[in-house]
Amino acid sequence: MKKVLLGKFTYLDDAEKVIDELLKVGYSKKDISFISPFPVEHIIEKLGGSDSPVKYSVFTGGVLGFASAIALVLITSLAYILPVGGKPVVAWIPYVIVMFELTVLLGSIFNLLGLIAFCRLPDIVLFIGWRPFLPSLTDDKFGITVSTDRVDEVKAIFERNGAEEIREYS
Amino acid sequence: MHAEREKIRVNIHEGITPEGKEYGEQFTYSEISEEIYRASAKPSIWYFLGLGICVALVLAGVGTVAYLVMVGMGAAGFTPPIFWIHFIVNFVFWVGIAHSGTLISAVLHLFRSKWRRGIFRVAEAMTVFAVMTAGLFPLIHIGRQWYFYFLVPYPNQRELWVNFKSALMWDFVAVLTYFTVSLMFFYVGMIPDLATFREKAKGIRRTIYSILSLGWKGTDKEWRHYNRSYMFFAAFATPLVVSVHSVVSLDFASGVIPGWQSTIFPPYFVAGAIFSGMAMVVTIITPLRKLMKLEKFVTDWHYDHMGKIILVTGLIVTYSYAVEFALAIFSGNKYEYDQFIYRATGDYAWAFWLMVFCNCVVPLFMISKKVRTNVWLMFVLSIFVNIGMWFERFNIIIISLSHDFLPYAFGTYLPRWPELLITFAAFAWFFMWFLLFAKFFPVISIAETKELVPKPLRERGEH
Repeated sequence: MKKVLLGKFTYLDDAEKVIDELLKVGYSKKDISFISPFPVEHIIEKLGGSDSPVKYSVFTGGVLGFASAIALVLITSLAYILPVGGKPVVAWIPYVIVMFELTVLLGSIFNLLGLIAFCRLPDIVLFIGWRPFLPSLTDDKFGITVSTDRVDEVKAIFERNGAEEIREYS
Repeated sequence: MHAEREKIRVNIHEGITPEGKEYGEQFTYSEISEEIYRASAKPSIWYFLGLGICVALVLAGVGTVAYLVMVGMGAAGFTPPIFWIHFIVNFVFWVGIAHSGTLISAVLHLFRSKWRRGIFRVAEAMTVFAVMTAGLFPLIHIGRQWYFYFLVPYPNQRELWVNFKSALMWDFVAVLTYFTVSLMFFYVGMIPDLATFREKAKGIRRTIYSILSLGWKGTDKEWRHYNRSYMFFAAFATPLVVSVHSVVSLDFASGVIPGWQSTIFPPYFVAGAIFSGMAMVVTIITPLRKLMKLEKFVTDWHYDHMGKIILVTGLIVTYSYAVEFALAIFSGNKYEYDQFIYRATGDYAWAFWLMVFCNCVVPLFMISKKVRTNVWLMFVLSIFVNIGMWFERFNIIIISLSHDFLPYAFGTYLPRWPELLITFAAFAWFFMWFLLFAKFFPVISIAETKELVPKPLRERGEH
């Protein structure tokens, strides 16, 4: 049965060494999670790259916003013909504003939804305290969690590299 | 006192402290979390006094709107030819104020500017609350607020559709988008900090922060998506900075009134918006840093940069005023010419020259580095800029409407008490939200400030 081990570190280079060792002994990037109070770019890169599928959700939102703006201005103009200011019934230039705004609006909404979905938020389990987590990891410490069935081996790696605290979760 | 000031002084060019440390290096991680949490958790008596005054004024404003609904908008000074009165002046002023928040948070984020980190949260909050304030005025101004939903395009029994060729609809769409995007940007930026607050708070506050932080842990996967998402927000918000006030300016530029129909309006309004918004950031952050003891985080280095932006945008605004006059004089349009001569010499000349003094002369003091790094002097100058920018909108709206084509239709105008009270209540509404925000939320980004602290490395043996 796999367990989750959490190690707490004060020094960033210690945490980085642990990640390197874990990768070397055969753990996959999926098994390892690095927790920090701010983004540490090179470790994020090491554990999966900086790219994110959020971009697809933003693109979908933007296209949807643009298309719905075109549909909205066309349908409303043709359903209720209102010739004003010498402009044609379907006047594209003034509609550019509406198209731009709805593209941005839906792109942003889908951006937020994408963020929430890909981060798997809200994490209700964390509220009840079941997730491997320590308060100081949002403050001044770094954490590493590993999903493993070789508990002793991981503990040894953590201890060798200066873990201040090690916790075990089933 | 002097020593303390020296301690927080940061070299204005490089962001270097007298001890040779970069901005951010003087903190530790837990000091950042602790001090920003403490700033939010323990307000002084002055805070409650300020909040009390704001709430009282807001209630008075609500009562005045109710009074206007009962007796009609005539009581607010709706008299020909000046139907837009203070309400639309206030609308344009507050939309303008909202601008620099997005500029600081989005544009400067894309440019990887370091100095934004001390002030961007305040600026973002200011954006959200300023748009909330601006949005009140078209509502109040229409008189029959219960018909506001007519602006929303939806299939209805009346078989009517809104007119997307109208500047009013552009405004509606633009301001709604701006508010929604700014709010999301503001909230997303706060999620990691709310998680920090969650771990420090107790009782009901902890529950609220737990819900608001969505169970954020700070894993590498979360940060990866977060960074990318934040960048997209910044990329979306950047064109919004330009678009929203351009759209607001089109309310005027697409009209035929002398003094309004001008192609210079969009860039002129955008520069003016950034000018006034940045001044409002200075106005807000100066007492805030004092009350909440945040001098370490908001230093004269930040003031120097804010001063530079105010100076540059002030010069653009001054240039725009000059171009407006040049266009009026050389265009051969006698109505336009007459309008601008009237602005400078007519019944409202005092308002025009007050605007010129506040917006063209006052920012020039900021050429001096000593002025830009003098916190309280910057505070005073920023108030002048705010006054000047309010009067800029007053001049554009009130003077143009009071003096259009036909001498028969000319008229002057004096504000009446409901209008003045609602104007002051709007300021109170804005500051009330701001004070509540400062009490419950991180006013400075914890995570982004921590990024500036040198990483703790065992090899270096330091933290």
